[in-house]
Amino acid sequence: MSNIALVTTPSSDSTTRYISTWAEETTKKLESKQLKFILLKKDRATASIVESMLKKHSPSLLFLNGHGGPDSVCGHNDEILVQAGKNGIALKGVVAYALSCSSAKTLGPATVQAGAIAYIGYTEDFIFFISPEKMKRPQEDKTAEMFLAPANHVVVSLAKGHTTGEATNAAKNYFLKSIQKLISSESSVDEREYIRYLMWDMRSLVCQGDRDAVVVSK
Amino acid sequence: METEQEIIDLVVARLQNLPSNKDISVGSSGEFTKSELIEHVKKADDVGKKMIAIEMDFLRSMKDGIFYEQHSISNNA
Repeated sequence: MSNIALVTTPSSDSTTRYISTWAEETTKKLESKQLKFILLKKDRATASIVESMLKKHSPSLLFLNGHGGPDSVCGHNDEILVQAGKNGIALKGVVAYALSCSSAKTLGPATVQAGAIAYIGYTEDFIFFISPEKMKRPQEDKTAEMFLAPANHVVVSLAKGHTTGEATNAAKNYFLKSIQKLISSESSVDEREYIRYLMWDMRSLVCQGDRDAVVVSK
Repeated sequence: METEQEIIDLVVARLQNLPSNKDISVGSSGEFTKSELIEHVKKADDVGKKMIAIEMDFLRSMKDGIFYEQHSISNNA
């Protein structure tokens, strides 16, 4: 096991800037853990660089951030990085986590069938809220944090040595805790409207393939 | 049974409660303000249908008691 995680963090629009910033902040906090992170930022989040780095480093985890659809995940400028039936084979022997819309619908099962160890992703669009005044500092956006912290907890949990199934459930529980906090009387009436979107994201997060796989060797 | 218009009206009413100072990212469809989302729902286009699906899923979840479930994990995961 390589104990290497390859991470794509494109930044072509507000959504990708937000999810990528949060992914980068998460990986920074995990530097002391056993997993070594290699980030492909902005215009390095391309198909050719991803494929080349997969071959060079044989990462145990591929963490994809970006737009996507049922059969693909994208990188910089929405270039398709991985697509079912085209290059899903490139994920053979890898655990993949895609913070991307809907890719667990078709791409996930296809990559597992092509030899990926596991695919963690979302079966529906990933929805989150943005505070426009925080656009230049997404990491300070407490509203976005309610959604992106649980989403990134998959990686936190994997980096601690937990299995793919455990990491998925840990992230779901993190979403649930955010929901339960909003139900309490501490939150404002309009904040409680976020509950349905947190629930949507939580319910669409799935783990396909081997739920007992780990990405760090002990 | 609700008509399609009743469902649209319900979702619009819920969206009216959203904070006005936040945008919402709806995946590859883009980022929207509250008022833009409401227009999409009224048109029942792809984005609008997505918002309707989210609301319907939420209502079903409430009926199923999903707020109180825990996903089994080991400690410190």
